[in-house]
Amino acid sequence: MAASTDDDLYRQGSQYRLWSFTATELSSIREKVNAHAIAKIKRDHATNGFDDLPVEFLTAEEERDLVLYYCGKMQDMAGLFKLPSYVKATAIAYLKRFYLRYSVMEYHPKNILHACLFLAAKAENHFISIDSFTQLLTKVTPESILELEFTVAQALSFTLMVHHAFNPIHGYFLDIQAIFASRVDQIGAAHDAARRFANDSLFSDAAFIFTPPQIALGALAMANDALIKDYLGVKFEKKPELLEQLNTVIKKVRSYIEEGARELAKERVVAIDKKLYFVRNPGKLNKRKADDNNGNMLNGDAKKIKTEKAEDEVPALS
Amino acid sequence: MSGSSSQYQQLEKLGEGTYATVYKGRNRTTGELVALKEINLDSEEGTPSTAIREISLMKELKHENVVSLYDVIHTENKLNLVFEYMDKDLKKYMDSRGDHGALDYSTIKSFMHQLLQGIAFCHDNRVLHRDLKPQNLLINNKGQLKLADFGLARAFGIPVNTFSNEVVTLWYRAPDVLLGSRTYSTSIDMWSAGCIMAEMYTGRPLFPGTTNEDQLQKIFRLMGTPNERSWPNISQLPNYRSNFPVYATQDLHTILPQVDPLGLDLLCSMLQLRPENRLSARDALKHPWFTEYNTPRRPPQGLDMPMHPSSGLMGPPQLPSTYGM
Repeated sequence: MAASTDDDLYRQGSQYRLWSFTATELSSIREKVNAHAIAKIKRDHATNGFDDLPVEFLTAEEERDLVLYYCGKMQDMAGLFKLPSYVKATAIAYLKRFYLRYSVMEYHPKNILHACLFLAAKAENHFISIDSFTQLLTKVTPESILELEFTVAQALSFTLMVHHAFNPIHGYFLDIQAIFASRVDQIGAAHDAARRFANDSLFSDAAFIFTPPQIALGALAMANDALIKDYLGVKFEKKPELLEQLNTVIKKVRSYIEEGARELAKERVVAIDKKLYFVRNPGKLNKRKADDNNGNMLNGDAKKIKTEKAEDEVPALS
Repeated sequence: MSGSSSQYQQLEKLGEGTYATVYKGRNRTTGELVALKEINLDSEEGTPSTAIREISLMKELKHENVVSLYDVIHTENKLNLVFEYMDKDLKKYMDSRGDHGALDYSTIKSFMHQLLQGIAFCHDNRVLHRDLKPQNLLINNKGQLKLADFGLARAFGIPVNTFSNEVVTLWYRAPDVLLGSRTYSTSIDMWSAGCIMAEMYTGRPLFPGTTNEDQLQKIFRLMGTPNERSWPNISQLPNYRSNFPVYATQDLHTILPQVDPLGLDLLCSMLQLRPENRLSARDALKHPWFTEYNTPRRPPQGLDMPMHPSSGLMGPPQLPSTYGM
């Protein structure tokens, strides 16, 4: 009955219980999801007589990169609706978590994207009506969102509460102020910059591996290394060995944030999306084979793919 | 976590919730009784936000004094939340078991202790229930009490502000909310807990107001009319009137003679008009009235900073000034 510490509470929460992993666990989950989807799609292709086609399946790593690309799309969309950071961050968390349960080869992220934002807005008490969705986004119908709402919620095991680094950044900001009252300007600037770094972390696996306060400290250290060194020096004055451990964590967090800040090479994303297109439409490969036999050049071929894509895929990559 | 609706047999209707109908149900495989909260899906907007938020909170709040959500089931136009089955709500329990609704001393103490444990757990998790009333406290035949109906509940960060003030059934609504405060926090649940404690002694609601105005008057008549001196800045609140009838504070002992002095002290600490003065749930649990429940505390564990990748810490070292306001 004694009050639990915040660490105890965090460990009881779904973010820790269901959605926290080591980097190794994370890649093994993605490998499994990928392998499972490939096996399933191969069976489907066989049923439909496409089994002799040279379908190239996505690798787990390609899947991850495509999801991260769509996390960027989510950011744009959240901007369109002028949503606060935490709603955007929750929607991105839903998208990333969804693809630890399913492969992009089973559910295309361009569709899941909308359902994630719609659900996140409800869960974060920032309701957006279906109408405003369809008004602001082309190629989105109410049905296409509602149809996937439950699929997404279920894939997330209905754990819809997500903790981000923004709150801890604010908390540290207040605590640092209390200790270094004379460095107010510096602390304010660090706070603002840290929020931007926390935003960068959304485009990495950081949230699966580190806790929100750890990401917050990493972001703050990137914003003002000296300030955070001084702050932690005061906090851990008598526990130097713990400080050393914490610094190792902060260093790792920083590498994830830096990774999140790097933009994915456009060509890579286009190539992945093209592969995905043929996985989902193996029949088109048949056509390409026929075209190749007729002496069509690869150039014209690529163009054709693009035109076809524009018809039944959202031109998200343009 | 993804049963089909045919997995549960729907039995009789148990009641109407804030946005749903609740049925008794039976798990066809295990025979276990459950409560099925049936929510109509909006053909326009899909799952209602209230249901989404209730699901979101219930997935986090795992505690013996909070009703458990077992499963969520989706059918064509309905969503069923499958909860653990509880025999009655506190209102029906008082009507059936009590002496004209009043309960005996040891039952009251046990229920209050469980209620406060449930509230403390929610508040530790930064969740306000916002609608505590006897109908939302469920009792099973083992004498356990659990908080239910989190349809109006919400998570709060720091600081808490700009909440709508249209929450909590009038009778259990805190005076600061009635006065239009939008910066309330955990203390609103503590006011409700105080009202519920008094009701368990008498079998009647303590402040059965009919309108916002009448509710405030009923409270002031008993607790005294507050003023700038007893409650600084009260006149800034939207629904404050300088011409409120002035009542003197009554001695609660004369109104509730059945409550023992220690219990009365606890009750008074929860029924403080000014929210800042209201006891927190954690402190209420340490009140001497609960002496027999309080075992020696385990020594403090852990650090106040995150050390290991598996270590959590939701925020920085706690900020007492922003908590429990």
